[in-house]
Amino acid sequence: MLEKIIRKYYDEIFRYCYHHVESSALAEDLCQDTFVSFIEHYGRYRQEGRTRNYLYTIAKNKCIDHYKKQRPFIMEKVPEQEAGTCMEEEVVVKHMVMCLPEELREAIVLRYFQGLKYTDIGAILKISSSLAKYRVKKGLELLAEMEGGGHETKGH
Amino acid sequence: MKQKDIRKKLKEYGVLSRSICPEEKESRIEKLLLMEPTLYTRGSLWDFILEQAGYLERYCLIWQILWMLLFLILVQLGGMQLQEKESREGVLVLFSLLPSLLVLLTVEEITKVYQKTMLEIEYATKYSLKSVVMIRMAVLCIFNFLILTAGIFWGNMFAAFNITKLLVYSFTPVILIMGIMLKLMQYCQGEILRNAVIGGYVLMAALAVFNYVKQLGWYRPESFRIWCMVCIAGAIFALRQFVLLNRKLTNCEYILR
Repeated sequence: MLEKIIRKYYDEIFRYCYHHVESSALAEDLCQDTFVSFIEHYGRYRQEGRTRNYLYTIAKNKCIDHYKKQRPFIMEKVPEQEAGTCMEEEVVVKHMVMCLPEELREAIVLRYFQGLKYTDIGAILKISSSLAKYRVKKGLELLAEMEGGGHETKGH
Repeated sequence: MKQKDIRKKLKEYGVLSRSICPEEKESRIEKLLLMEPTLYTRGSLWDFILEQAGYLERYCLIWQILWMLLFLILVQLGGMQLQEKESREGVLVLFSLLPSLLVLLTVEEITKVYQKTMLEIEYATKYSLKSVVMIRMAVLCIFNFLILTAGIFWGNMFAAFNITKLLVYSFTPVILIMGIMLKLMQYCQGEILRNAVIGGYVLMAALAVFNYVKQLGWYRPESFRIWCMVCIAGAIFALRQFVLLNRKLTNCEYILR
């Protein structure tokens, strides 16, 4: 059963990590760390919600730890691999998202990149679903402003 | 760029990014699965019971302690009032209502296990869903039964009231609510179940108050036989629902396997 869980969520968690870092190798490391933590700590899990949300919460913490180690982290250029796959415009969007404040960025990533519902976003971020909705809205406003005023990359 | 366009771009990126897959997925999953054997070390039954008791939320314990204090006050003050004919019925109404509150306070702790996707976790762990549900039920039921019985016996020391009657008046609503709860547990979960039980409890309280105000005489000696019959019928109903719930959990395990 554990194998089923890992296989079911591996790609999804990998992609979530990928949205937070600049390379897919790093994302794989973070994803691996997430599942290692999941296996190590599942016994202490208090069984209060969805397995997927639990995994997202661990992954989120792993990404935050990664940011702390990497500071100052500046996204200067579009990764070559992505630029070569006709995704440039989308990658610019990703870069803009990465420039958002952490709480807004998380909400946007979970909502649009991962396609989660507001209730799940709320559960992962430990906030109400209405606050999750508000953060997504605020994030969109900021992104629109960024786009209007010229996109500037910032550190996290 | 308008928000609408931004949203569209975000969605497009989300869809495109779904094609990105981890390169070393299989080898990494294999490494993870090597950790698996350590997961399946089972402890003794006693360890299991203690572990599950430890999972019970603190608020549940706090509510139970508060309930116990309330019940002790009822026993201490109400016990003496039982001897007086005028106030007897009111005290007996409280003896019928208060114990069922215990079921309401603990129902969520059991149904929490019922959350749909939590089944996955349970199956990745050492024990089956059925054993977890049953052990939690057993821990809570035994604890509640003991404090309730002890409270009633203690209350009886203050008033020379028929202990059998007091037990029947207190346990009949508990058994009925438990039966209804077990029935509901087969079909709904979490918040819905809790609201249903609260609704049932409010209805029962309203009935009890109605009986007290309108003097329907539920606690007259001649009605005691009906109470006994309802108690036995309720116990059979609850037992039947318990068996059905057990079967449902077994089926649930079968489907998952």
